[in-house]
Amino acid sequence: MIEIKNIKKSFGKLSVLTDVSLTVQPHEVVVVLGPSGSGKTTMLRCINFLERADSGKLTVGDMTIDFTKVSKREIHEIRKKVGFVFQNYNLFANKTALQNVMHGLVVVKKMPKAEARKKAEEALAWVKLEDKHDYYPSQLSGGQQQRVGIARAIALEPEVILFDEPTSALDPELIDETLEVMKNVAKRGITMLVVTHELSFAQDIADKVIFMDGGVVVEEGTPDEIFNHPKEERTKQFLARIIATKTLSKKIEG
Amino acid sequence: MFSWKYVVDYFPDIFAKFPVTLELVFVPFIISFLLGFAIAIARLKKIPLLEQVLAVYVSYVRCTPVITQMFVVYFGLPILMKQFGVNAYDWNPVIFVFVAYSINISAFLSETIRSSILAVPAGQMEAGYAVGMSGFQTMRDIIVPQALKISLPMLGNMFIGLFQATALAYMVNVIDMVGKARNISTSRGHLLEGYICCAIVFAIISLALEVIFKYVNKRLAFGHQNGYQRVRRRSES
Repeated sequence: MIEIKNIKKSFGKLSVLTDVSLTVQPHEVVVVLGPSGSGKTTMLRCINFLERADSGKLTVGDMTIDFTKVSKREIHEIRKKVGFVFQNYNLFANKTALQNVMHGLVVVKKMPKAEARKKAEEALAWVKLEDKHDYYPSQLSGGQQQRVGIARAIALEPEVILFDEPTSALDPELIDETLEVMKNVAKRGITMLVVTHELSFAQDIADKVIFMDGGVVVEEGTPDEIFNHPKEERTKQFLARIIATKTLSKKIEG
Repeated sequence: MFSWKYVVDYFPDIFAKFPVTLELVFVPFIISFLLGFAIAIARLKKIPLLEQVLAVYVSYVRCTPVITQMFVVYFGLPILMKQFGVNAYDWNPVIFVFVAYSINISAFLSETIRSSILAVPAGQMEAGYAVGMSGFQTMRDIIVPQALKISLPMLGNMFIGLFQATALAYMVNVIDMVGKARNISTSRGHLLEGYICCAIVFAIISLALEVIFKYVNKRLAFGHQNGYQRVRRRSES
């Protein structure tokens, strides 16, 4: 389980997160929607301490910390429990696909090399990249890189995997293969917190949808509640605009 | 009169001093690499006081000619050592060249390594953290290997530059190839031929070094260019 309570974060005078709380139950898939600058990425980054929140509390599994007085050790422990998939993949550029997945197992989990290799091979097979073991990130397409990124996160068996706009940097044609893999991750019962603009993914997969704007949670509910019966005016506006854009692009394609 | 005959005659004597030149390259380069790396890390970590001291050190070295640095060390170090009760006046002059070049190259290398580390995208460090690695582990396994790859062409240039700069060592009475050439030319009266010998050796070795560095650079491409074809060929066969 993962729980954020009253998290606050500002960059200088700009308040990015003004009091955000949310809970993700085990095996749940929670999708965070919201316009650019609404603070959703910052929130994810705060959970993994890639950004340091100013205040608030964070629970991951059996561990609860206070952002105002967290030790280096605690940060390290939390990071081990949390997987992260980046918008621009961030694969280790000096390691092959297999090494990217293996490295954390060997260095962080202290797994024997042979065992780590087996596990990494499984993870890569699972994202359908069994034929790309020895390829460096620079030799893979964006979609393939992102799938390696997902394999790297899964192999470590974290309590939760955070996805930070995993398909935003991809061509439309590569988005589908990545979403397909994410759907499989969800089916596997892995807890996921996903920031995305892919409404279809939210509709099909999410157990809960959270709509954020201006550093606060505007509305949360099941996909049906948010997409079909939104209560807040701001949510309606946002959805209307996205759906309008989608229809337009469908017209162009058709 | 210039004569190739003397070039051939002098060559064995002069080339016999090539090991001295090698020593003048490798010892300072290895010391400088370690020192330069430490300086780069200390400055990137912004360790108070040390960072400022190192900034002054680097800027002093970069703003003075290497030959002055060599003389400052050659005449200054014995005076300094005397304060500690050590008599450095009869040390082998090679040691002063080691010290002077280590000071010089370490400053330049530290800047190269520092900028190369900064050139590795910030996302690489974040990915290391996200996987659960410590800052040190990420530095060691991810950032530094990539930074070295970035700095390799510069390291190669510096190595070749240092190789040629060893030709100045004769000025503090080190008998390397150039020192030997000077001795021969003054004792036998043929000034040009000895130096031609040196020029030939320096040119051939420099060209060879360039080829070696280009090869290493390609091998370390992490999948770019040639590496791509290598993997392709393996999977096709």
